[in-house]
Amino acid sequence: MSSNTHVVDFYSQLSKNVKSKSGAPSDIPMDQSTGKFTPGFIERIVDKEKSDTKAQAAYTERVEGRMLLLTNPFKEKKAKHGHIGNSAVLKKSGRKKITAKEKRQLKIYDIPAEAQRYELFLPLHRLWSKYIESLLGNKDVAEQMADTKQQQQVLGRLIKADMHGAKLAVERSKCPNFVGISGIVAQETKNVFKLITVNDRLVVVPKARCVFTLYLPYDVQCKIYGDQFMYRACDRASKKFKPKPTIDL
Amino acid sequence: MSSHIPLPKEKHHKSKLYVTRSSLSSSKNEHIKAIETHPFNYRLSIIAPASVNNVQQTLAKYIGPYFQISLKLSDLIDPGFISNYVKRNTLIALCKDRYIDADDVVAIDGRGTLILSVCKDTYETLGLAGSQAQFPLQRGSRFIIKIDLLAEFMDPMKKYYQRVRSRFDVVFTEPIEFLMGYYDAQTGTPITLDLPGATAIEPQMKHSLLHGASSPSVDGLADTQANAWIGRAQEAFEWVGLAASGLPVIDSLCKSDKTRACQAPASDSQVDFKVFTVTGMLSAKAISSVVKEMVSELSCNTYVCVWGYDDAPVSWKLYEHNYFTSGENMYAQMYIPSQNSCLTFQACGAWDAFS
Repeated sequence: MSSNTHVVDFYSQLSKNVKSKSGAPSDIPMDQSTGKFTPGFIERIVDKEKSDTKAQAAYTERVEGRMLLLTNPFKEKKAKHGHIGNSAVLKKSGRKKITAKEKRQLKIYDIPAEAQRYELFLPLHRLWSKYIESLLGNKDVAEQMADTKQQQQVLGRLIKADMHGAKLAVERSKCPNFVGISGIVAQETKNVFKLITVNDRLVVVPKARCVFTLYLPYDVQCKIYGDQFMYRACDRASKKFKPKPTIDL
Repeated sequence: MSSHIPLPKEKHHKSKLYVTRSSLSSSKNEHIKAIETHPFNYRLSIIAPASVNNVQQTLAKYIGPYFQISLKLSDLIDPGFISNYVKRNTLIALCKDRYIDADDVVAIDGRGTLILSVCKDTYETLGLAGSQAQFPLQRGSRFIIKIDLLAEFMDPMKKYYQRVRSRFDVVFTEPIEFLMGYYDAQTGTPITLDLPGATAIEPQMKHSLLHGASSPSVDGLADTQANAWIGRAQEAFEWVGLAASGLPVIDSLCKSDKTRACQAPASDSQVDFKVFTVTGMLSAKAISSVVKEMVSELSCNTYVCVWGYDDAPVSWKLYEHNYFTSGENMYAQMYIPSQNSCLTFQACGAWDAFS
């Protein structure tokens, strides 16, 4: 062993803290015969080769005045769930995340009513515009769309792009009430877009059975078929899309 | 029912003929109601004995010009248009050269209801709530939207009005050719429509003579409980149809022509009839005014036959018409003064929700 090894002295005194936390009762009267028998017994079992003073010291240090309870003093008192005795313990669990249900209960993704203002989301839209321009190569999107080859590339990038901050409008829908709604995307989930409208309303529009118009920089518009867009933004970024025929709502 | 289109059993409908017998002196006026609840009519035929002289004057009194005009749909919901025309008098409008089974059809029924019968694509883009049409081949392929132009929510300050207007502006950008009739709300007499671009069209009036036509017997038509009544009523209806079409309805012709479905009705006597036919957009109110005036001076059996527009979105009482391939949209009436009664025959197509 190296010299750095920390040597533990098993015979060191217990700290007061440990003693006080043990919770063991110390005022139990000792039987006289037990009091006489114990020192002699200790001396007998401790190795004779070691000095008597050591045996005596061990007795004084470890045994004298101490008792071993054969009953569990905590057992009679039923502990609360997640507690041992009076002290609480953290339950050990494998997961590090809270569940979707817990997220809903905590309302961590809800946009508070005072924050549902169109003007607050305009900086996000400007940020998105810059992002989409850089994504599409800082070129005129209209020119790229005109060229068939480049159009495919542009659409391939667009379909994987993050839509938070984009301006969307519902062009067609199976449900007529959604038609005409437009605004900035505040949130996107697998199944819905949450849009902040010019009237400072948060509108939840399902992707299913809706066709959206996406407004891009340079006055270019794209259609998004909601039925084919039902993925989370993070899943969409890594998904390989295949061309599908135009669908009926 | 068109035979070439396979349909599931539950969707199988057949054309129906409704026959109603009503009293001329009854305050219920069922025969007048049948006329006034049928808004879109394009031809009226009156078959009266040649001895009756006042029919032509009566027709001239109530039947007048209608108008052809090209308008955007948003013009129809303009507050000025609604207050000046729709609220003040009776305005009937039906889009021209549009087919109910293929196009978007727009109409105003004369009571201030704007009716849009639109195909699925238009409905999904339009964004106005409506109901599924009752009898398309595939459910959800056609929709009916009704907008009450006289309702309070059609105020420009109200949200619904703004929504309707904005959607019309987006979807119906092109002007639509309309046939419009503008009539006095009480009498049904035509009024000039002073809209810019409106072209007045005079209805075509013509009359012909049926020499020695054997009129249908009315003896068996009084007792509606008799077994032979249905057969006799059908014969009478066929006779009215033939006569209104200008075909000679005499025994010899009907008997010799084996291909014709009509059988010679049991005749009382052979009478000379005059057939007056008016073609054009006709107000239901004007037709009822003509009939009322005619009936007040009636001495012998007279017959009225009215054809509705095939491509009108609604028939009686604003029920869906949904003309398809063999739909009918017409009615005939037999006025029998001797029995103080009127028989009304309402021919509904297979796709008519009224049936």
